[in-house]
Amino acid sequence: MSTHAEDRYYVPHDSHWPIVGSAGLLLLMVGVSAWLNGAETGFWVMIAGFAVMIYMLAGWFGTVIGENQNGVYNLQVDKSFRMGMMWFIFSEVMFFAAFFGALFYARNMSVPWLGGESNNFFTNSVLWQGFEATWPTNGPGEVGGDFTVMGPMGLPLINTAILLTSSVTVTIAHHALIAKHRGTLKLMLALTFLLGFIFVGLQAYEYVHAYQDLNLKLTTGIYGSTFFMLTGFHGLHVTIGAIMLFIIWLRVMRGHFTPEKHFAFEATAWYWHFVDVVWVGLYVFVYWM
Amino acid sequence: MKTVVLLLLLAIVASLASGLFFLTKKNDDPTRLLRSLQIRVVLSIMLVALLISAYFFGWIPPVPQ
Repeated sequence: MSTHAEDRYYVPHDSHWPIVGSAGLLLLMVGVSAWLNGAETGFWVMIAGFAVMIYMLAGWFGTVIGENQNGVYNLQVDKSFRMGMMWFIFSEVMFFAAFFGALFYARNMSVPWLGGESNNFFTNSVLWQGFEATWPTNGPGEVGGDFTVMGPMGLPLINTAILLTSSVTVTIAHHALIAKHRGTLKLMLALTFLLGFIFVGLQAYEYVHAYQDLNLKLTTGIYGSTFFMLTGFHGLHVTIGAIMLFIIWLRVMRGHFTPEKHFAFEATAWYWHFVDVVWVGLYVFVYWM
Repeated sequence: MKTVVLLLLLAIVASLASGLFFLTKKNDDPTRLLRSLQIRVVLSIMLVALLISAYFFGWIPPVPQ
């Protein structure tokens, strides 16, 4: 069959998923802009856009999995999947680098400058007289009022232990896949995504605690905004990773993947490790130091 | 102490990056990616254990409350 040829790239003909995705994106964007401009129906158009997008993603990924299982992909396609994953990861690294960079810039540069460091003596004495640069802070304007800092012990430590445990379980699952221990693979993978969802639940609980008891909000100056932007986007990525692991688990249950060929598993496992490393970085720089 | 924490963090990122190398490069030995990720997990556990010890022994002050 020509599709098996090493020199020919597999191209699916007559796929309707690109046009479905385009329609979904159009609905989503029109809905969001209408809603933000006060049109109530915009909200429902946005929800419809989301639904079409989820339908498209599930359908398109399902088609790709089916094509893969039918053996229509050759080494060229394999290479393109690896390249695609690499660029996706590159964009993710840049994304988090921007937020960690914002924290570093605010904490080590702009806040000390407002306190008069470097050549900013007059910035402090004229504009922000009496402001002493410390961290955590909600700035010289004390935006958002008095607040309590989220400490590293208690819930954040429990969440760290949960995510680290999930990294151990995904590594055991990874080893089990290569060693042909399918039972262990199924169990450890299920534990991994369950731990991921527990982490997200506890993170939501931590946010409620921050808002209700600590007066620590997204609007609490530079500390509040960096805290919630970093931990919030990380939580979103844990959710995405846990959904990916769940899909991989469903595929394992259907007998997909062999000890030699399991790129989707490897990519998802690596992504989970990446999400955990981001958390360890967050735990050190946001909660500890 | 902070230097040790930062060095461990760097080592964790390096082991994750080596995993990425084996992930994106087609090779016949799937255990190389697994080994990089195993090292990554062990280093992360060491780092968190170090932070907890530092808290109890007062080696490193956490963000002021």
